[in-house]
Formats: sequence, structure tokens, C-alpha cells
Amino acid sequence: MRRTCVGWLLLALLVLPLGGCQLKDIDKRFFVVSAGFDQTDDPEKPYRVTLRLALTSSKVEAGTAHAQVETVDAASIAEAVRHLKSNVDKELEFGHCREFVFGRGMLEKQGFQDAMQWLARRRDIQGVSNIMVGDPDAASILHTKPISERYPGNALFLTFGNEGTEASDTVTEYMFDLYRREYETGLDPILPVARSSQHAYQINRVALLDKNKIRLILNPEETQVFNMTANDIRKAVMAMPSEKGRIVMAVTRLRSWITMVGGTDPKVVLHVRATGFLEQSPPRVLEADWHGLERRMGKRFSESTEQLLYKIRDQGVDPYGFGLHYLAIHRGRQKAWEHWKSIYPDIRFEVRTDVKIQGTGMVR
Amino acid sequence: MLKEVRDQLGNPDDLITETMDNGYTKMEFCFFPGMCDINQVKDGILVPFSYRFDPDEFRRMLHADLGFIRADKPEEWSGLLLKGFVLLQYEGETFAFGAIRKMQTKPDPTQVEASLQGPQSAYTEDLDLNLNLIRTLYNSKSLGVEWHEKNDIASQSRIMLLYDRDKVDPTTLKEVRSRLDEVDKNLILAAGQLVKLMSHKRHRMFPVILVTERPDRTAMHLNKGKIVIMLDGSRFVLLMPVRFFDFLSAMDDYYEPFWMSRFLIVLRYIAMLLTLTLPALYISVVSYNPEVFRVQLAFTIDGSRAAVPYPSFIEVLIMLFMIEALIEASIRLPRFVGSTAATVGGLILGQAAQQAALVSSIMIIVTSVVAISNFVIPNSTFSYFIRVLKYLFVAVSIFSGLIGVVVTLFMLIVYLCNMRSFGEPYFALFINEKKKKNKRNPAHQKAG
Repeated sequence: MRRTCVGWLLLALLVLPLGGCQLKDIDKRFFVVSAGFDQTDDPEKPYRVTLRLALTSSKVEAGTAHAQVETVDAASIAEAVRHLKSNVDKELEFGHCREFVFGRGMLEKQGFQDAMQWLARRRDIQGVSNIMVGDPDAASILHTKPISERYPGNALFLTFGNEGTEASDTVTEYMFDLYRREYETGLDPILPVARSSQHAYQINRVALLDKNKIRLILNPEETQVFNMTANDIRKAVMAMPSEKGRIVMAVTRLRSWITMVGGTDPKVVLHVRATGFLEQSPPRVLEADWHGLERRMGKRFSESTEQLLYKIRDQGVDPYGFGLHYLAIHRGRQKAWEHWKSIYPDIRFEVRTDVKIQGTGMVR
Repeated sequence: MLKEVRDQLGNPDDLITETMDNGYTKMEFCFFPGMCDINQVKDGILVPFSYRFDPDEFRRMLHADLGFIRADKPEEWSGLLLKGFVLLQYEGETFAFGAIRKMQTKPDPTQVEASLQGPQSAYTEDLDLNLNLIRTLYNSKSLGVEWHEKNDIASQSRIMLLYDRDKVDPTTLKEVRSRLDEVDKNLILAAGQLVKLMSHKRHRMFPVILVTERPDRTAMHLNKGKIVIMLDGSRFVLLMPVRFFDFLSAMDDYYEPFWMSRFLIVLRYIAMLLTLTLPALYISVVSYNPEVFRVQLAFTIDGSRAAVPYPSFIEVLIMLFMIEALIEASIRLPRFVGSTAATVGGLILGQAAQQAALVSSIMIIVTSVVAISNFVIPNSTFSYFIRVLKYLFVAVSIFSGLIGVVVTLFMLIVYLCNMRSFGEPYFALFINEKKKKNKRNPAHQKAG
């Protein structure tokens, strides 16, 4: 009896100090909803970290989301976050931070590898975080207060992925994918570009990067083509002018795949198969020449895609992963990669688009 | 005889001792009027002895009537009297006449294990009636019935062992018998007490004996080869050996349509897990891992907890104490006061506690889910065990958060796997029927 008592006492003594200082209630934590990284001109403190902190309330209503934005400059991101803790009254909590903004200036001059290191190492940062480029800088994105926001950070959460809006010219890039693209041979990173406009975000362009810096930013039309061919995004449109008016097809199903033809001097063939219905078109254009219309539409899409592919190739980046595809079907890893690098600047593209129009929607 | 009886019992005032004389002959006669049915005494003894006295007939009646038992040993007399027999001495011979006053004449309605479509009758506090209920439902010639005699039990509670001779596992039966012999308490009043005495000390976290008031459940378990222990004066019988899963099955599962009952079983297991872990999960998620929530929920809880002065575990303990007190109070209170207590406690106190910012609004939901889920568990003993075990999880979550809860759950499963109920695995999902039969058959041949 006495021995068991002593045993229990010992156990209690052992258990009590376990993680005692880890216990931190939810109301003693400051939720970071988005973080931005910029570069400063000061060589001593090159990093500017901006954090958007949620001021929570038990009521959730549109327009009542309040946030506090804190900025600090430091020699590194990790130090900046530590310094920032002294500016706030509660412990910073990154568990719900899913939006990370890299300033465009930083990406053009210095690259994102330092920031990525910090993101990838922290245990509380989720792999499914969205990463984007802030244009002109990250701080401007974080200072934006969208009026539709129900709770802090909600507008940006919903923009990406399929949770809220499914815009065809918004590219979604998750942290795990960016990390993969950073290190994968033959596949280069992409990042959506966000710009703040008054009380909303405008995210309709994509930045194509080499392993570290921005090489090219596509305009919204190109971004949509890129999104359709690289990410198989549905809910996009294909448009074509005609004599009587514009013909617009809403894409309901889309699939694309890459093949390579030719041995030593390969040609990349990008196949696209799109199915949809005409959302807007002059009367009786479809009945007159159904297959002809499909062909012309495909041809037009192929041309614009080819143009885009050559534009991307000329910048020396490979966001589609053609190189990875080449490596997958050729032996001799190092040699094949050297060979691919030598032929990529002059590689030829062919886009074969197979459009299938199902009808004219509800109107017969 | 009368003097001996009086001496043995210390001459109690409620004992009637009489020497009756009807003019022809004399008879010594004693009984406890409180324990005997006075009408039976009158019809069986007084009328034949007085108004219709015929010496030959009376003698024949004493020797042939099933109601009269020869009781020649003086040391048995006091015991018989205490059981409600009438003792009489006629012409130098002593007889005991069974005129025990029966309080119960029909089965009770089910009270603890209600069923929608199953039988509505439950056991009574009378062993003979209970035996009748079982014999009616399990009308098999292989039903074995054994008295378990224990002389040193002061209450002289009759204990009875029932099993199906063809289906029971002899080693288990032996184990049960020996465990019953080891019970050295001399006053057994209720089935639960016997359960406590028969359970192993190691098995204190989960019940290894199922207590039921339903004859249909008993019959079903008898058919599965289980052993039943009945106790006189208890509305409940003991079933053993049982598995973990027996405690979560209601008799309605066997009576309702297939998919309905499957759905309800799944619901019950979810409810059990919720009532076991939800308070602990609340603490660990709120205090250790807020990233587990959806972001909206995290912000709402953050907002509603902002005014709460205490850390999350104090909040949980306050609410759990309140709900436990409420449940305890409504069990003991008379029924019509009980509902008032529930209203006051549940609605007003909960609402007020939240408005006074003593607890967060989510905590109110957590508390009610815990309380309601606990009532979903069909067996009340088991639900007590779960109610207590929940605090273990709470304690662990205070110190080690989510990981602690997961590890404790794992340890609980290991503990359950290690448990045996009278030699049979407690947590076995499937008992290998074929193997069991092989084990049983040679023993059965030897016995037969």
C-alpha cells in the first residue's frame, strides 16, 4: 500500500513538468493569417517581414474582420519573426497562416530560396499554404483590407484552390509544390502574382521563375492558356472572333498531355482535348459547320499556345516539366540532362488541340 | 419443540409459538407471521386441524401433501422458520409447511434496459419467478441449474448458477465456480455487489460481468454458452464471460431491421469515443494544437474564449463537475423534481456560465455532447466506467496535449487486449467457433 503510494507520487512528480510550459491557451495566441517577405535597401537588414495578425471576435460577419499588420526589418527572416514577437502581446501562431507573399522586388533581385528555407523548416507551417508574388511588394498586399472579408485572411484563402472562386486565370501554387519545383530537375517554379486594387485582390497573372528568380510574368490571357494546358483547369473559356460576332466556348472538360517525337532532335507535342458548349455565338453558326468550327477553334487555341510555349522557352524556364518528361523516357541521367539543356533553347513545339462542342447550352 | 426454537432464535417478539388443542389432540405450531402468507396457513393447517378435523386424513395429509416437508433435525428449524416456513409438531413428528409470502406475482416492466420492440418484461426480486421467466424463454432440456450453497452468508441469499450443459465451456464453468467460492463477504444484497466481489482486482477499469434485467438477453447469452448467476432479491442477473462489445449492444439490435441496427451500433461506438475523448480533445486542441481546427472555428473559439479568465482545463473541469453533479442529482431525486433540476442545471446554468464568460460557448456544446453521448451507451455499468475513464484522458491532455490523448487511447486498447473475462479474451472481435468446439468436445464426452 505504501509502496504504491510512493509510486504514484513519483509518477505525478515525473508527469507534472512534462510540457508544462507548452500549454498555451488559444486566447493567448495571436493568429498570423498571412505573411509577406520583402527586400529592403539596407544591407545590414535586408529582410522586411510583414505579418497580418487576426483580431478575432466571436461574431463572424462580412466587413467586420479586423487585423493588425506588423512590420519589422532584420538580417534574416527567422530573426525578424523573433523581433516581431516583442511588438505584440500574445504568442505568434503560424498554424493557420496559409498565405505567404513574396515581394516582387525580392524575387527579382535576390530570389526566394532564403524565404523558402524558413518556410520549409518550421513545423507549424502547413505544406498546403498558398504562395504568391506581391506586386509591387508584399506589404501592399498585406495592408489591403477587402470589404467582403468575414474573418481576417478569409478573402485570400478563398481565392486559391477550388474552395471559393474558381477563376481560370488564377494559378494556385502550394508550398509543397513550390518546394518540389525548386529542387526537381527539369521542372521550374511558378507563382501567382497578386496585386491589390482598392479593396480587393487581383490575381490573374503568373510569374515563371528559374530555380530562384522571376524570369517572366505572363499577362492574364496567357495565364489562362498556361493554366489550361499546364494545370488542366476547367471553367475556362476559348474565344474566337468570326464575321458575325465572337464565338465563346465554355470548357467543361479538359485534358492535356505531353509526348515527344523524334530521337536525337525531339519535338514536344502537347495534346489538348477540350469539351464544352457555346456560351455565346451568333445564331445558327454551329449548325452550319459543326466540325469546321471545332477545327478552327482548336487551331486557334493551338496557335496561341505554341506562341506561349516559344515565349517561355526563350526565357530558358520550363514550368511545364518538359525536361522532367524527357529525363523520364531517356536513359543516362546526367548525360541526358546535359543533352536536354543543350537542345532546349531550340526545341520545337507542336500543339494538337481536339475541341469537341457539345451544343449551344440550353438554347436549341 | 417450541422451547428449542425460542432458544435458538432468542425469543423474538414477532414469532408466534402456539400449542393448539382442538379437543381431540394437540399440535405444536410456530411461524413468523410477517414472512408467511396467512391465508395459506389458514387453508393448509388451521382449517384441517380445527373445523374439519379427522385424525386419519390429517395424518395422511401431513405425509402425502407436497407442501409439508419432514423436518426432524432440530438444528434446521430456525433456518426454515427464517425462510418463511411454518413449523408444526404433530404426534412426535415435525413438519415444515411452505407458506412463504410472495410479494411479486408478475414480471416487472423493464426500467433500465428499455426496448422499443422487444419483450417488455424484466426480472423481479423473486428468484423463483425469475427462474420461471428464463425457463419460459429458454425452454431447453440442456439448461443446467445449480444451487450455490454458502452457509456462512448471513442474508442466506440464494445464489443460482445457470448454463447450457451442451454449450458451456467447462473450464470457464470451473473458473466461475471457484471464483464464486472465493467470495467471502457474508452479506450480499445486490447483483452489483456480487459483480464487484467476483471481478479480479486487475480488471477494475472495465466490467467483465454483464448485469442485465432482461430475460431475453439472458436467454440469448445462455444460447451462446455463457453462464448466468442469479441472486434472490435482486432484479438483475449476472452474465459471464462477456466481451467488450456485449456492453454496447442493445437487445433492439436483434429485433430491428438490418441496416437500422447497424447504423445504431456505429452511432453508439462513435458516441462512446466522443464521450471518452471530447473534453480531452478540447483541452489539447485549444491549448496545444489550435491548427487542427478549421480556421473559422479557431477564430470563433479564440473570440469566445477571450473573456474566459481560466485556462482551458479549469474551464473543462468546471463544466464537467457541473454536468456530473447534475446527472448524479437527477438520478437520486424523485422523478418530478428531477426534470426541474435538469432544466435549471442544463439550460439556465449553462447559458449563465457562458454569459458570465466563465466558459466559452463551444465548451457548452462539448459538455452537452459528452453528457448525451454517455447516455447512448446501453449498459449503465459500462457507461459509469466510461464516465470515469474520461477524466484519465482529461488529465493526460493537460500535460501532453493531443499526442498524449492518442497515446492514451493506444494504451487503453493494449489494456483491453490484455484483459480476460473468466479466461476468455475480452476484446476479441471474432471468437473462433470451430476451435472452441474442438476444445469443448473431448471434455463433454468425458463428462457424459
